[in-house]
Amino acid sequence: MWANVDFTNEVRPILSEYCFHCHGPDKSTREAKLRLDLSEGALRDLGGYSAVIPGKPEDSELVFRLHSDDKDELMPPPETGKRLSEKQKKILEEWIKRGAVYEEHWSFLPIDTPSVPTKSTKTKSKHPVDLFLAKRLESEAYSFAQPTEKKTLLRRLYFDLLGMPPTLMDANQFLTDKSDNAYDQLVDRLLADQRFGERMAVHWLDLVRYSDTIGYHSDNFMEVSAYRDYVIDAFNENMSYDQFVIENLAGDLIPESSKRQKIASGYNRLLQTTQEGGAQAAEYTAIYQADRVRNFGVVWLGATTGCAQCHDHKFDPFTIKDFYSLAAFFADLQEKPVGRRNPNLLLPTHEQEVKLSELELDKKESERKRNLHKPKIQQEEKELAKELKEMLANFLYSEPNKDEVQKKERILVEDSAPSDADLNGEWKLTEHPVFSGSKSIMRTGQGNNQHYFINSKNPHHVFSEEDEFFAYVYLDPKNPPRQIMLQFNDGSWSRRAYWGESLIPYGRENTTSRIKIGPLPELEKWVRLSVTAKKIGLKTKDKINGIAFTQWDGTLYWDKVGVKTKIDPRQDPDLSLKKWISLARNNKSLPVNIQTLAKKEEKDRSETEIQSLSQYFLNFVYKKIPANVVEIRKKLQETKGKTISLDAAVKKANDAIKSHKDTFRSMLVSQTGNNRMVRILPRGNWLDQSGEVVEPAIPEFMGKLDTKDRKANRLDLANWVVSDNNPLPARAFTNRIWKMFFGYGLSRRLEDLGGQGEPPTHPKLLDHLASKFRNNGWDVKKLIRTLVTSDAYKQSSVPTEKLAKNDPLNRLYARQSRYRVDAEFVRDTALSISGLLVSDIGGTSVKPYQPAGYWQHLNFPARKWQAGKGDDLYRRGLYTFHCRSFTHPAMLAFDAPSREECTAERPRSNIPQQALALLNDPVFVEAARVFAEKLLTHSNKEDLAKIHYAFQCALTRKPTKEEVQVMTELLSQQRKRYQEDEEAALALVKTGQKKYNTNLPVSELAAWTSVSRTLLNMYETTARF
Amino acid sequence: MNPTFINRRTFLNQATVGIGSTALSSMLAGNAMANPQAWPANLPPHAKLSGNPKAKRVIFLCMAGGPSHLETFDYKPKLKEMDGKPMPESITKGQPVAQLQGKQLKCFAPQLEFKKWGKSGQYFSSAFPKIGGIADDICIVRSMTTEQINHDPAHTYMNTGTQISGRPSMGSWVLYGLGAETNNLPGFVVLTSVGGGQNQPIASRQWHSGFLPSKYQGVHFHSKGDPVLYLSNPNGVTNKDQRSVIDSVNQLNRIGNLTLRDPEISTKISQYEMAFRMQASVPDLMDVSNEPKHVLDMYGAKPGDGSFASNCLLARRLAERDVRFIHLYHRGWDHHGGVKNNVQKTANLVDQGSAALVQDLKQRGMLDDTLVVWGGEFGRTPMAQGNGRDHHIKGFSIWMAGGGIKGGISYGNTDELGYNAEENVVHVRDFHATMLHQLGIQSQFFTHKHQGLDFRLTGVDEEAHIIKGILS
Repeated sequence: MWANVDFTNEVRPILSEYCFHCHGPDKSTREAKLRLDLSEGALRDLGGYSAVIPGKPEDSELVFRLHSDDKDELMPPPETGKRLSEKQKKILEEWIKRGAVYEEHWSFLPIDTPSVPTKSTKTKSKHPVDLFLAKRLESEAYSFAQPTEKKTLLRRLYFDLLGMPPTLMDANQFLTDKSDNAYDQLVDRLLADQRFGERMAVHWLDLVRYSDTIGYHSDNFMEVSAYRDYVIDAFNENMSYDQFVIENLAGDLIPESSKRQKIASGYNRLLQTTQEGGAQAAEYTAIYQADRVRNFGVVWLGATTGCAQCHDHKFDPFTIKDFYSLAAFFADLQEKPVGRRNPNLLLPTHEQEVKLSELELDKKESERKRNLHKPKIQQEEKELAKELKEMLANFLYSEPNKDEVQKKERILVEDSAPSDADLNGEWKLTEHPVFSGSKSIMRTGQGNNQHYFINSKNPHHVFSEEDEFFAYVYLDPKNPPRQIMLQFNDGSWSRRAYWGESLIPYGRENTTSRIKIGPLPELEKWVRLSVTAKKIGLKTKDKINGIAFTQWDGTLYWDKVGVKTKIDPRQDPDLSLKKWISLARNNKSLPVNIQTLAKKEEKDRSETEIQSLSQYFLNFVYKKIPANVVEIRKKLQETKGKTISLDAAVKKANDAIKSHKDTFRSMLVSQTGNNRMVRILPRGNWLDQSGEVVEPAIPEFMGKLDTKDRKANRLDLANWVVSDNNPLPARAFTNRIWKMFFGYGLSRRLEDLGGQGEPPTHPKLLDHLASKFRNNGWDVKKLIRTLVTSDAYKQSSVPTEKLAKNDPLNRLYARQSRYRVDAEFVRDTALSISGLLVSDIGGTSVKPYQPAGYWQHLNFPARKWQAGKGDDLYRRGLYTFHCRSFTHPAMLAFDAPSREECTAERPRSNIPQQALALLNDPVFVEAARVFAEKLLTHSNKEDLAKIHYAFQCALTRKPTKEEVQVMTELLSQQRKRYQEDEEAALALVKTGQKKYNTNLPVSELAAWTSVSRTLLNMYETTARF
Repeated sequence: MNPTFINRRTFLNQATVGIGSTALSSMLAGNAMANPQAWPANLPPHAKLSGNPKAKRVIFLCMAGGPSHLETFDYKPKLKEMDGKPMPESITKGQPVAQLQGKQLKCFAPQLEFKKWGKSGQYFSSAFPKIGGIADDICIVRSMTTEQINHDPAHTYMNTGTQISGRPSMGSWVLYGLGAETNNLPGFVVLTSVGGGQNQPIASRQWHSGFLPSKYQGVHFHSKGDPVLYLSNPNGVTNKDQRSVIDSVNQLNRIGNLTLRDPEISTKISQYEMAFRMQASVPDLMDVSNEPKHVLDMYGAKPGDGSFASNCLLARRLAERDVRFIHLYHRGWDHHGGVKNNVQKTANLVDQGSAALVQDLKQRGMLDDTLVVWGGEFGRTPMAQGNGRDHHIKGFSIWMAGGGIKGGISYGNTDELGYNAEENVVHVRDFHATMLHQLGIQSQFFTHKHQGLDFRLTGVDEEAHIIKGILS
């Protein structure tokens, strides 16, 4: 019945699907001490019987259990809902009959170098890809499809290598080139095109879950776009893949690593992180390490390791210890588990570097000046201080007493806005008219308007109800206000006095919250307004920390605002040492050592410390002092001022450097130096600290790193990944690249080459390609060139009816595959066809149009998407700012992933949101209009010629007669409609930021926009056939 | 050849995916409006259904932020007694806390009055007078537990059964399992509202289809701007113009498909029809101005105000139109401070709408086959955080109504301080299993293979239990 039973392709998938969950590698869930993933386990004597007896299916317990009528004996147990088909049972029986030979899982075996089949009846090609594929076709009723049309092949190659269709000029170059090597030259041309790197990056960024935001909770911005550019460059420069692997995982650990290698190591920082208040560091540390291992497994090995976070893998030999040992490689990374991702690498442009060195010169100059002048000034200062000290040597100070209470006028505002308070409203200083000092403050406005200060650091303490607040006003006779109000803040704004009419709507009339003092003062002269504390309900010890100057209409000037009060000298810091000390602790203008001393508890101060404080007080503060002392004091202050301004110049230069650096592009990169201990977390539970402590190690079944006594690090890990005895990376990478050019992986599950994946449809071909790739210096472009120059690549993608029915998933490759291009390329295609595309490479991410309010559910902080301007709106899709929580909706509709986890393969859906986006997203409407402008300015004036030209631009082909008819009908209908309604036409052509061509008749442009919208929406435009 | 006269047989032969013959004939006749199709085209059920489904659809009223069970549905007199005293260390030792990390843990008395409601005498907060009116219809579960203590992962856990991002949300699972019955609306719709407390962010991953195909994704309907993204025609384009463009697109696609014979093209054609129909059906759905005044009053909804009450009314309209899973989020329940006033304030915003929805479904005979769920991603600590409460996962309350759930009962209990769920503990996965069970799906067999594993909503590791005690 069977010629052969293939363990890898037939038997193991059945065992894996139906048995391994309970009889596989995971010992914690293993039932009946039976494991079927290893030969020893299956053959083990279970007490007179064995699960498997080679050659004797009839005696094998396994076979008996498959057929048992007893539901306690039947396997798999009925409650699992899993049943083997008769065919599957037969396969297992046949396998046992043939000796029950186990083979190691295919992907873990060393990569073979199979010999290329020499000839085939199915192809004349000598290309290894064709010969391997043909070999498989030998036993089938199918052969390769016809070569596809040249123009279809051209578009296919452009989409596959560049992510957008050819322009008309590109197309003509190839289609008219009749030389034998025209195609090969095209391949070379496109592989050398800078857009190649962008196209490859889109796939790569999905794998490494690249995003511009952190992902969890508040999903804030993080700057990692330099990593994206690194990937683009790496593909464009054809960096060898092993080098790429090493730089990604451990670029920072390469001795004397370059800036670019450090950027590459940003790979380790791309994962989702959190800033959520209340998030626990230990929990997120565990989340991050698991995330890194999961991503490491899929990206570099094509292996799913996620299961082993909680228990030994159920289908593959990865153990929970392997999982945490891999995690330990990343425990050296310095990062805050919870909080902002602060960049740790600056990337200035050349211009910025030039400017930086200029600023550094400024800084040096300011330092030079300071160093030059300061000693002399300090010497002067010293001498003055000495003089002062001598003068005061015999001065006796004693604390004042209450009897000395004196009247005092305290000025709150004079010649400038208060410097020790928060300000609001405009404080407009003017020199005319002025009551006292050099300036007054002018205010002019309509209705209710004001300026005020609040939160004064030196509030007025009301001495008694007799305190009298005053302010001088001057009313402009040409435009007098109708009401003036002073409002006082004693913690809240509830004390108000006013003059004139009652219009300002604050407070309750005739209470302390709103009391009329008198009529509007006389015009055109300075008048003193005043109000006692009592009038507005203020009591002793109330603190006035702000005053508002409010008026209704008009223009007026304010000057000299203050309070007539009495003061207890014990409360006056100018007279009382004690009081002064109590305020000095928070007075930032004092020398630091004085502040520090003032902060000490009184009892903790030593004799000398008290001496220093009182010395300072007498030297610089105390008011009742002889006139000659005051003179010296003044000189000393001036000298100090000089020192301060020298220091300030240095500070200013430093600040300029800092704020200049803030404008640099930056990057999160790997930074070693942490030495976190990693434990096995039983069941993945971060609260369980009972697990064994592990050191960095590769999965045990794959060997051991030889680092002697040195702890293995990420660089060792990276080197192991690309070492000769690791078969996985070359297979995983080759398989993914194959998928980009043939539509499906040779092993269908790109993310899992392990036991629950699918064995390759063409194992020898995969090994051939993987071994060539690895042995030829991991040359990515060479691998791709191999694939796209095969006949199999160039064949038609249209299946015969029979093939479509029997091989719907194209496992035989008896035709090419066809599908809609990826989300980013849908956008790029429309931009490119219309001519709207801005083809700059790299840079920080950009923000094209996005529906308003799409980000409304983001918070901490709440934010809005601010669409960019000019060129930023028309960049390729991969530069669009990627937000994990709210990925751009047009991208999302076309299956762009949120990049929270590794995506090796995007789904390809076909949903109405795609139609809505292509029809209505302004960028596609704008692209259609710009495309229409291109058609209207085309040299040929005939409609028919323009329609032909449109098809050539969009589809690289001429339209059929039927297609022309559809378009002509649409055009004439729309033309009529927009001629009748120019306003609508104008509204349509105005879509988008780019100005429309005003030389064209608006209704014509609108009608043609409908035509080009139609073309951009056509399936063929964005499909790869 | 005139494209409108393409041979009908050729056409039907190509149409292998997602397009019925009648729809096609009407499209060929240029009358695409005549025959609405499932949205998105053709969603077959993927779950093996058990004998006796009770519910056809789910309306989940998510109280995002984590309502305090202690001020809403779980009365704890002992906590009042212990007010201000240290929380017994035997309870809290080694347990995860969020913002109370490293702080002293003190008991905090219930801040709102509780009373008996309805004939059944269900005991819950006086902050919900309207829900009090449906006390006999609801089943309160007081013994919920979850595993994630921060908002984002906790929502992810509640919605997908795991905290790892990238898995399908329950709405997607249900739609995938049961298929769609709607004519021209998505099968899984999300509505959001705010108010009552700080608005915790909600990521679109909460209604993502994860590894299931994108057509199972929840579609977020907005109350401002386009209700569905990109729904409106471009400026200067009328429905008639849009129709002309779509007709032309579809004609071109049809012509191309004569030689290409690509099922994706057939699907594409039907999706353009669908998109056009949505441009009419969604605004029609969202426009509640034709609802009678007494209905608007019953919900307390003002057309177009984007409130939770309006969303409840929309939920009913969606349910009437056979949308499978309707998920409302009210972002206002994160009360780290001022739990007394803030619970009251937020309750005022959701009480009437929630109750009206249940009543309205009931009076229309729809409550029997609609499962309504009310609850947040977690509860809040019995310990004080100032005058508020921190996140808490070891015990919290939700309620359900309709869909074969017993009304007028309470199920499960927390300990006397409201900390640990103690009696009849209900894990999130048990809730999921019960919800699926009511929909006729056996959760343990309802799987989807991804990355080599059979994934379930109820998780791959632990067994999920149906809450038998609450089934009618």
